Amino acid sequence: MELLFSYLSLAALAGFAVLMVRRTALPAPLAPFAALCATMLWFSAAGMLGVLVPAGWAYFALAAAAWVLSVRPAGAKQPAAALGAPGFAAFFVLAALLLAFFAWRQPMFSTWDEFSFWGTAARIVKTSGGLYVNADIGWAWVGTHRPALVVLGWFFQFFGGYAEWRVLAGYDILLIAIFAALTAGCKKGAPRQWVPALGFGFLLPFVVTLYGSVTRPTDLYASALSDIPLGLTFGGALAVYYINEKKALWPSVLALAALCLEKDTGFALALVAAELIAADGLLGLLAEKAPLRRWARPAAGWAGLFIACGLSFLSWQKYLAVASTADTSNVGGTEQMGMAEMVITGVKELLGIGRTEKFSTIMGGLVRALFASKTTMAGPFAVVIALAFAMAAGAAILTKDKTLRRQAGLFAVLGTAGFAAYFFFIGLTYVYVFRDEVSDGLVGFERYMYPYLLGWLLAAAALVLRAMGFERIRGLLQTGFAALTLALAALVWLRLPFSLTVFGGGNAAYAQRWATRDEARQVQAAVPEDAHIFFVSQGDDGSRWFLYSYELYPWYLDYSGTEGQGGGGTFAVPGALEEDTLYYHPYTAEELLACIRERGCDYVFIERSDDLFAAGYAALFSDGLAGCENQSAVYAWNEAEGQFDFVCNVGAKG
Amino acid sequence: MKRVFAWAAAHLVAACYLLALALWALWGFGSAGWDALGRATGRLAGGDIPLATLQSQDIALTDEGLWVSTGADPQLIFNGGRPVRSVFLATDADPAGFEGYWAAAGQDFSLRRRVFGEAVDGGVLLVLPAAADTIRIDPAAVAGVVLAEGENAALSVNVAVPLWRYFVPRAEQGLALAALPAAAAVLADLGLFWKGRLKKRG
Repeated sequence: MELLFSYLSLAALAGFAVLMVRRTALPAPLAPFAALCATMLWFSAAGMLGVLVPAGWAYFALAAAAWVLSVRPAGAKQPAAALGAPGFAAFFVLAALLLAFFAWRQPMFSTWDEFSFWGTAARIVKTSGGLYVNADIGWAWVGTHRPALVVLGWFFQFFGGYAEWRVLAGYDILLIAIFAALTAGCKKGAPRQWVPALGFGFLLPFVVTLYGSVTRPTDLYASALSDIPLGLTFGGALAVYYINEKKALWPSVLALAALCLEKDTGFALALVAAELIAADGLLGLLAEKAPLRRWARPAAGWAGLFIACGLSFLSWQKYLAVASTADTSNVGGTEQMGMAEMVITGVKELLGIGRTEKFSTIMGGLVRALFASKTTMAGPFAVVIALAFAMAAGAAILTKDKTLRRQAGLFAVLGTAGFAAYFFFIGLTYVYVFRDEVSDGLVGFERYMYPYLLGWLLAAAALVLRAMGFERIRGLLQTGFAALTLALAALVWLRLPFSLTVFGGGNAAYAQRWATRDEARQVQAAVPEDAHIFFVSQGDDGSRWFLYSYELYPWYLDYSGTEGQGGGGTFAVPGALEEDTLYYHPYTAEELLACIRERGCDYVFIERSDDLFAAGYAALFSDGLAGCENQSAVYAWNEAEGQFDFVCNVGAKG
Repeated sequence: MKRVFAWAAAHLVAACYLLALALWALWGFGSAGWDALGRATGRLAGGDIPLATLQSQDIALTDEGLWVSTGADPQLIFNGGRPVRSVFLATDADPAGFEGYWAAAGQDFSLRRRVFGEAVDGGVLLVLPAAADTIRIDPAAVAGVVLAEGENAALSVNVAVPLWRYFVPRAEQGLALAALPAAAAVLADLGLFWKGRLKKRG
């Protein structure tokens, strides 16, 4: 049933996509991506205005109208046959197959960030029918995270109940739409062009974000994190521009505005993309020696790109300022500086004005990592950079279309410059924002580089695919691109056993999640919904606390302990552990009781007890903690006795 | 026939997928027939292999007569000198935890030769994509899982498998079914393209 409801969302999307094809000159394969971007914007805006659910009903009503309008031939700019473009059909076939597969496979969230934000936010939006910024949840909520991807996941489950696979499918459908857009330049009836285009897109995340021989299950294509959609939306915004002969700007405007609402760093990427597009148009006009009066329209278009980025980016800032109490002005971190100040200081240091040792060390380390660290399947980032440059340069050299040659050549140069700028910007966050233990080891450096590389390669591929229509040596580009895609497929096949992907994996990957989900349901059955629950999981580093916060929502899992940070960790009497042990909450029994009661918790969920906990706090529990020796247990406050009483065991024994 | 070829050349992708489906159906029937023949001739001899005779790791028989996992990586290895196509174990343990690895004689076990357990009436069934000399079953990933009851608990090898299961792709067969027809269509189209191009020149 949930599957049929998700198909309804897909059908509504199709209504808008078909209408775009019939009523504009947009090549059909670009339409699903444009429609999805518009969908993300629509629901992000509605969320910010507090009318998410009504906007949903309006969306589906408008989609029905779009279907009616697109069936009527009057006023059509493109014939219905335009819908037969292989990329357009492939998008809907693949999206429908993916939904069906996920409905059967039921993939689930698996990583820390999905529980600490992306997945939890998706669940909050579905449960509450509004955005998540002020949700009643136990932690210092990162409400500053942006909503576009979260509402996309919500759109695919507008009808029916909440399910993780529907969120994950929403992300994948966005990616499929972007891959389908690549086929817009392909000749009809030439699978030698459009099949490699789809394949290249599909393989990109594997090639760029995995490395070495993979030996653990990967969550690629079953992940609610933002890095990959972010990078590919960035690339998609460029691809829809380069691949469309008419150079229409509005699909890019939609994509860039959506990009700015996917994640904060999307703004930086969007500015790079807007600059690339504007520079391309500018050079085009200069090359044509166009008279000044012909500049007005294109110039307004380029301005529109930047205005869309700015408005979209600022809308969320403004919304947070109005709706949330969190301070949103600074970028956080150790130096407490604003974004502009950070860039200015960074440029100064780059030029040698007041350069600190930290700056030299970190920037030097980053540049070395570019060439030395195995960070992608193809090798260090330098290999991927060379590939992106080579593809754009190859398109420039091997096409006989002069305009395209200029475009591809300019992209080869500016794409590289854009990478340098993005690289520098990320470097600055390591110098000024991150804590020392993160910046010293350049922790997560690859993850921040992936989005640009993904988008860059995708846009370069768009230029190659477009150039296929005007080959200097006929057949060379088509054959070369097909060979490249086959080579990438072989690389992925050799490095990544199929059984480690979501497409070939078994249930074992989700067994743990099923167990915690069942346990959480039992806790929910034992505790009233408005109660606050105190969480004990000895030895936890915070991950189990985030996990249970997600599983228990809308039940409220307390932050649970403020000494030595809350949100998971080990409770023990002062002196039982070394003082600087990570996540160690040193409480005496009285202090722990006071802490639980002050935080308004009538229930304690002991997910994992141990000797330290039993030794320190058995007196607070009327059964002396006998009930949770071998199994997780729930305890309830007994006001008369001044102790917690055993309620029930939950979860599996062991 | 000519018309069929003309249609296929015009719809290469669809034609390749249809061809793959047809081949897959043939493969399914063929495998079912070959296995039935194997069982009839004794090549795929069925039978019960007592757990006690298997090479194992992290698995112990308790005093109550329960086979229990004792570590995080329990394994049962069958190296019985006969080809194995399917394995059944009567168990109440979670079928989701069961994985099977297969290998030819002298080959190491690999993530690339891995199948997942399926829940069937009264236990777990593992079906391999082809007959194998050695199989390893990883029945769980934690200690304390009761895998079987009774001292004489046994694996049943080469149990009869219902016909429809022969049509469920296993291990990398699914990947092959999804990717190979598309690759074939690309290669065929490139072939036709270059053939036409070179002919024009000549």
